[in-house]
Amino acid sequence: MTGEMNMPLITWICIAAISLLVVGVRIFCGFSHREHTRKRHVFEMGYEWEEVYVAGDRVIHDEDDYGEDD
Amino acid sequence: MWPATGLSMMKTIMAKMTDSAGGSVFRPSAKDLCAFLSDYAGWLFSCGATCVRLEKNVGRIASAAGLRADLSIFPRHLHITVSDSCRSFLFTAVSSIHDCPVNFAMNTRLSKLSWDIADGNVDFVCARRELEEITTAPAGDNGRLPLMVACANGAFCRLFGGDAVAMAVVLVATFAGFIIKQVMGERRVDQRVTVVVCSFVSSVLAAADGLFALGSTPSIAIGTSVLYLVPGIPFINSFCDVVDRHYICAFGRLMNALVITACLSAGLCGGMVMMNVGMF
Repeated sequence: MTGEMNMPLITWICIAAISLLVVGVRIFCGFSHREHTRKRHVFEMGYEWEEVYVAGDRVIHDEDDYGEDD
Repeated sequence: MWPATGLSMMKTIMAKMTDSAGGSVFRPSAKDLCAFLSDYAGWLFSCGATCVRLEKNVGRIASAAGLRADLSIFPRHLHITVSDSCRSFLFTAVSSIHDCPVNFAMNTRLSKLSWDIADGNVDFVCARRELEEITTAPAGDNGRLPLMVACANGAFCRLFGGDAVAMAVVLVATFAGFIIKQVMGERRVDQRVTVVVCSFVSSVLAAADGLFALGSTPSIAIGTSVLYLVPGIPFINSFCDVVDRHYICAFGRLMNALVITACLSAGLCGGMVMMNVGMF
């Protein structure tokens, strides 16, 4: 009876422990490789076409060329 | 419609003048173009482009070479035939769809490549090199993505009426589930298995809200913890293909999306059963 009641708790602890392990390893690996990648900010100002881009539209890199039709 | 300003018009004219003076000219043989377009179309389809986008981009590249391309698009394969305007010769190639996740960065770069070819900015050798570079480039910045997805899913929880505790639980459950999804994706685990595992893990973790009596909306936390796995893009692409009358491809995409949704549901149900959470 007690075992049945504890089943969800045991399951939750097992899943949480495995998840924590995977996430921890992932984050650790991410930090160890960070030196080789370009530093990025959590929040950055970007161009409209970087986020709202309809595939096939022409990407304009020159600010002088940028217009509503682009 | 393009380009919009005088400066870009000048650039276009200058580019044309460069072409006529012996610059970048896209003039491959029909056989080479057919092989190139076969690779190009296979990757463009794989990274999540709709059929209409596929036809437009392939047609644009073929036109730049003074040739014509016709496509037969199937859920797992592409047939492409390149010919001249009077059909004096025909070359056909078949390519398989690559098994890769939706990648809008690749989609964007492939579309840009088609415009660069059409504008005469690259020759055939450069285009091939660019295609190789695009398709072998590593995925973009994956470090921030789990956090962003977790925040978005937490916001979804709030939209469905979850309280602050439920939002926090969903955020953590989504973060863990998404990282597991990334890890399994990098190891080429089948997408359906990945979705089952991730939805199971996320739903079990989200059950902490009710298991430890943390908040007042535990069912909303469990229900919204798996929303990040919903295959939205395949559903949308399927609808776009129906609009463009690519019914076979639309049906293929729809079936794929439904199978993914069924896997999501299976994982969610498994998690709810394991946590003794009532379904109704």
